[in-house]
Amino acid sequence: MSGVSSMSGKADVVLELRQATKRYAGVPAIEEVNFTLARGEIHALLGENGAGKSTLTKVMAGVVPLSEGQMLVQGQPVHLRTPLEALHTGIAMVFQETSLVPTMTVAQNLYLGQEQFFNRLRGVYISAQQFLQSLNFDVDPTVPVGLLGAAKKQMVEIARAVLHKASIIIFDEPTASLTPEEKKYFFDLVLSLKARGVSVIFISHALEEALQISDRITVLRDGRHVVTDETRNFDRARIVQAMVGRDLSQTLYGQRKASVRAPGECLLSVRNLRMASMVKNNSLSVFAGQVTGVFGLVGAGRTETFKVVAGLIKRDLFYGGEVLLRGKPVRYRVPSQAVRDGIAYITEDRKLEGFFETMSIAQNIYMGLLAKLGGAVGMVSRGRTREIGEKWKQLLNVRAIGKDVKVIELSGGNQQKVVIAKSLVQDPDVIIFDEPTRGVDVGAIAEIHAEINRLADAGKAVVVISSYLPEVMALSDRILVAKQGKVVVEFSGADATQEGIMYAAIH
Amino acid sequence: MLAAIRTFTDRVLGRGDAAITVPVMDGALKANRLLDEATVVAERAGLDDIASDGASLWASAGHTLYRLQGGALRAMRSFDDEITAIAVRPKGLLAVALGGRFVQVLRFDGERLQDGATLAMVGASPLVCVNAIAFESDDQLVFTEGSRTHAPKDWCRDLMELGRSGRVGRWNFRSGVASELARGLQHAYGVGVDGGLVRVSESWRHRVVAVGDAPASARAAPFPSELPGYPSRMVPATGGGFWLSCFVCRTQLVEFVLRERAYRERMLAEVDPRYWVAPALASGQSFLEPLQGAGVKQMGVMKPWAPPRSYGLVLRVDRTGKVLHSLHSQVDGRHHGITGVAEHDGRLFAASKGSGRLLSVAIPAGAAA
Repeated sequence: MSGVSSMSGKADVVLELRQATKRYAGVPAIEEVNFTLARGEIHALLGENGAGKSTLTKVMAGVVPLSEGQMLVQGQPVHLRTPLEALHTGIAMVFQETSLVPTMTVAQNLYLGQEQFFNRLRGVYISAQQFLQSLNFDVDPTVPVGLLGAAKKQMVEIARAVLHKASIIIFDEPTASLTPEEKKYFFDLVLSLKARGVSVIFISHALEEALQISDRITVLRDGRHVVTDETRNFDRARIVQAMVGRDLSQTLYGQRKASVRAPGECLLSVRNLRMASMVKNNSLSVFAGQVTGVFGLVGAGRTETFKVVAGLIKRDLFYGGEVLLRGKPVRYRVPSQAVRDGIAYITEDRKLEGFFETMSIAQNIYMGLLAKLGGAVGMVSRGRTREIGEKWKQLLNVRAIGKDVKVIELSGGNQQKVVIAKSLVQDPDVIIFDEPTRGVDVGAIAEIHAEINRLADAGKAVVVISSYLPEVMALSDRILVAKQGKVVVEFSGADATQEGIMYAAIH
Repeated sequence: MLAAIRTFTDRVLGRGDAAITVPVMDGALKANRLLDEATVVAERAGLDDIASDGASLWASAGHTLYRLQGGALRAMRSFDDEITAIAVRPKGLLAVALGGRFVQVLRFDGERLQDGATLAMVGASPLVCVNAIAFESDDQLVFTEGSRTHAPKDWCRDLMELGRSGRVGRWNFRSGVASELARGLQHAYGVGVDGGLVRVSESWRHRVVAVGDAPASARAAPFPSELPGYPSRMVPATGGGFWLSCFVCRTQLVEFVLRERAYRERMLAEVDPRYWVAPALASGQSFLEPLQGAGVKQMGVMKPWAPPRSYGLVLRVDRTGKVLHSLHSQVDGRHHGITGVAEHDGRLFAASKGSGRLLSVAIPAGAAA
């Protein structure tokens, strides 16, 4: 596990970790990790879920103390015990789930914790406006944060970090919830921070992003440092190999499928569906025993169409079209009706809609079963909950430190597996995966893909909505391309090309 | 009472029967250009039905019965009435429907056609609209009648009037006994025999149904339903199942018109049938036709904005009623209004009444059962 580290000069180092080790109940989360961050550097921190990235950054941000080893900021040893101490030292962390208060305005969030005894709201707004303009951030300080999109929330988080004079900002999966346009905007922001001399640590599962924006890359595996090198010396294959210890690039996103599964019964048919301005006269079919990939740019109405199918949102009241399950029209008022009819929708936003974060893995999976059984269950059985939880943990290879660990404490990939298990325990016939591998490490991606293929082989009708074209092509037997609220073209998985699909999605 | 309230709310909200939706053409129904790219074997105005006896391909166009010989259609006989359906059987047995009012059996000795028995009535009711025939055995056949009031050429009026007087008949031409197998069908148009099972296309309900005295197990087998087109004639396919022609396709506009009774009544009374807002076997032949406005460019191809009045569609259906494959002539194509199909000499033949062309196409790989 010898790492390669290259730094232009020690004087540039603003943060350093030496032989950093952190143990939880004696189990090491990171072990003897050496890490350096230079001034004005964008440093990508990569690794599978559970590799220790989050622990490492939590140590830097003062969320958890080191068990062994040393941390130096500007060459001085520090012992950070709280995030506030870290902030005073110039280290701020922007979490994947923003830590903003949604009911408060942008300005109130910026100055949260710095309030005067008599706070003049107007004064706060003027000050916030000036500050945001100085950063060239186009955000209205009077707007409640809950009304902002993901990108703007990120901007407020960044602004807050800069306001606290942070010279080191740690981003944990900053782009997971951003649209491609928002991502571009975010990268511009990060580059402007770099130009101001701010050092950035950037955690992402999107390897292309790391390759695109970072100056150096550090890869962790199983809590240990694997490699640090300048970004120009990396390519995707080398990163993946370092992350998983084996070459997965062909396994994950090989070329398009050589053979496609024949369609079975038409289980789901959507006809002329309309939903506000998002879904416009959309029609499609989903067949048993196949993976139907749905590709499109953000705003193409893919998610909304399938949320209508699953009863999560409602179609237009007047002439909203039809959804037919096994040839019979259905209209669900609530998702539980769809669940009972054998439709499972696995959300793209697992943290908000996918699981109960303070419940255990088994409890979450059992909740999925309760949704299917409805009123038929009189009493919740603890033994049965554990039994089912254990079974699905084994089936989907969910990795957790303990049996009763809360889902929020799991890595993104394992959380996603729990969300999938929560739906599969319902034994659905139509399974809709919405962005199934977003924010998931490469090892878990391979496992999730294998599960999707297993379901299709078992005769289930599987829908995979994805914005990642190689994923759609690697999985799908047929590919539907959506544009501006409806499916515009269908490709067979055997003859689809990236260029053809993208052309259809844009033109 | 509850049904009346539901009907009312459905009409207001556009739900249920008033949803005015059409099935999507994807999966096995994904559009292609196989019919447009098919070989044109022959061209005859009014080409309607085709049938193969294994040795020869027979076709009807207008009043004339043809046989395919040396790659060209040779006239075999002309009749006083228009031929509205044909069926053939090996050993020189033919049946033709004439003007929709008679079914006549003919014997073919290799060169000449000899008249056989004729059927004009089933029970006390005369034949009006015989549009498809299939032999059950060497002395028995089944046939469909689209309507009890309209001749075959007036199928569009029957659709606009939501006709439901179609029937299926069986005729033993040796004994002369004819009987009714089913009645009250919404335009029966196309019949196929598979063992003891008689399958019938019920066009206005976009489905194929089983009729007659087939065993319950056979009748319980699923049949294609909720088709995107109006099914018509069918023939057995090699490997099991059958080929099914759809002579016109469904559109939301026509579905809407079919819900608007007052509009239809006035259109039927006042407008020339050629210009009805209704499906047609061919379109784009006159600037007076409705639905020609505008266009939209998609994937670099200019596509008609207007809903198509005519379309070409042939379906390959397997034994379980599942559509395996389809052949299309799209909106901008010419081979529309497919009224007959037949497998002959290892190829699939289709009669495009809209263009008056006999088409031949290699049986697609995906069409194997």
